Amino acid sequence: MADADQSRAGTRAPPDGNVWSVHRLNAQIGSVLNAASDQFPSFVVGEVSDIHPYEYGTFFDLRDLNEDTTISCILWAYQRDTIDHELEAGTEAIIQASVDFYEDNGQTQLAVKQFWPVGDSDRSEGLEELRAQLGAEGLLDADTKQSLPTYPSRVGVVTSLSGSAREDAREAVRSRHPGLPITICDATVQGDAAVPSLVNGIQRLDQSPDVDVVVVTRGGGADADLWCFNEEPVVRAIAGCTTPTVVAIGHEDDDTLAEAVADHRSMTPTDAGAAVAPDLSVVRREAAQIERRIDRAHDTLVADRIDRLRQRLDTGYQQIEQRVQRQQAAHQRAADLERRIRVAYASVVRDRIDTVEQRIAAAHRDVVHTAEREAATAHATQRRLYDLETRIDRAYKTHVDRELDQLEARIEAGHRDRLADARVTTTEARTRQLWVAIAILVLLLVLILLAVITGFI
Amino acid sequence: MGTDENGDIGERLARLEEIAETLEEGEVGLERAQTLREEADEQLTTLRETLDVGDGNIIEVSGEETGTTSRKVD
Repeated sequence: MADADQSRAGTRAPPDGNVWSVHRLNAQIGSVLNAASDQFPSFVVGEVSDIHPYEYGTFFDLRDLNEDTTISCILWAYQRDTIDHELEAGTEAIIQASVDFYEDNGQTQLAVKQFWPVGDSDRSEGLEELRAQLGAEGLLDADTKQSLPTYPSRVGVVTSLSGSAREDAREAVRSRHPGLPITICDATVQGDAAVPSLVNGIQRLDQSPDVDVVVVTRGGGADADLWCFNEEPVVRAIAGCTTPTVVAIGHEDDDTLAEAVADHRSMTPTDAGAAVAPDLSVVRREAAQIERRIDRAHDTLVADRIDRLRQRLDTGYQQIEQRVQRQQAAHQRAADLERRIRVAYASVVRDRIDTVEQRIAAAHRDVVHTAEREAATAHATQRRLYDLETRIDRAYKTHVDRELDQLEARIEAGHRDRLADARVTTTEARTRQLWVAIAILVLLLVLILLAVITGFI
Repeated sequence: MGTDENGDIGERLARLEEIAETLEEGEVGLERAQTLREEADEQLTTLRETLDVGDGNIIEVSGEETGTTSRKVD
């Protein structure tokens, strides 16, 4: 609207004639007000708000009890020190004051001489009742607050597009996370239209599937300007959000119900932007730290595994060496045993052979001896047989000769007897007997000779 | 920068933390350690690409209950 007005104004020609300076205007206003000072009351009733005490005096606003109008007040220190009671925001008070107009800045102000508190204002009482009700519903409990997403995909902001809060919040987000998308929903943040406008913006962003966190914010202002953030529709719209909410209204000392029911309260729009946007520089540092940890852990693990493998190899090599040594010792022992066995076997065989040879030699000698003895015996037997044969032959011959001689002599004697005493028959008979005897003897001799020859004797 | 990419930042950091803890515990074999190391490198590369993306868009929505208009600021 302002742009349109400016555009239209830019096409007009400047007015001629009666154009006042600011100084002249303010001077005229002051003059008129002074002239009409008797038309102003000495006492004014209203709600005290926006108290700012300083050493030289205390500034505060006096708000109409029924209408959304205020006037600034100053209670100078020398007056303040004479008053027993203290100014308290949200209280209704009767002020004794005069109207001052400051030509330097064109502001009208009440110079307070005295005031009398008359209790909490209706609005203040309503605020406390709503706070109590929200508390009873658990909407102010810390444990009902949702956590803000660490890495939101889109941030929604409900604020005035023309206010400085928009830029403050946007810059805070961009400075931490330049790539984070933002949806800014324009809203009226003070005045009569603020409540429906804020409720509309809050609900719209809450229903947006892309928005992960909703920020409701505006810059500082008078309590009256910020009052819309105490209105129940706005407070309940924030409390009813399924999307996590961050509310930053005014300055640090401003306290609204909207902030009380929000999941997170920030002091300023800049703080709100910082609260919802992750600081990518921190993420980068964290990633770098994790990378270093992974590098170290990986290198350590690999080195450890290599050491273990090396130790296993060394152990295996030593075991193989020991096994080889044992095998070599076994081979050596087997060779020794083989040599011993071979030597022992050769010795045994040799001994056995010697024994056998000795036995054979002994047997041979025995055989030879026996043969010799038997040969000698045979020879002696032959010789004896020969001798016996010779003796038999000689004996036989001698015996035969003698028997023949005897027979011849007897034959002759018999013959002579037969011849002599008719001895013919007798001699013949005897001769035949002799011949039979001789035959028997010859037969006996032959038998004996055969027996000798055949070895029966 | 898309929605998934922003969401992946946390998941990737969590996975990288998990890999770091697994390797720091030292209870895995060489082959598994190599696999984890390669996965970590991929995760870090993708994470840094995500972090290095330029300015995200800003959508301004104006209007009241009876009508809205949106415009992309950048």
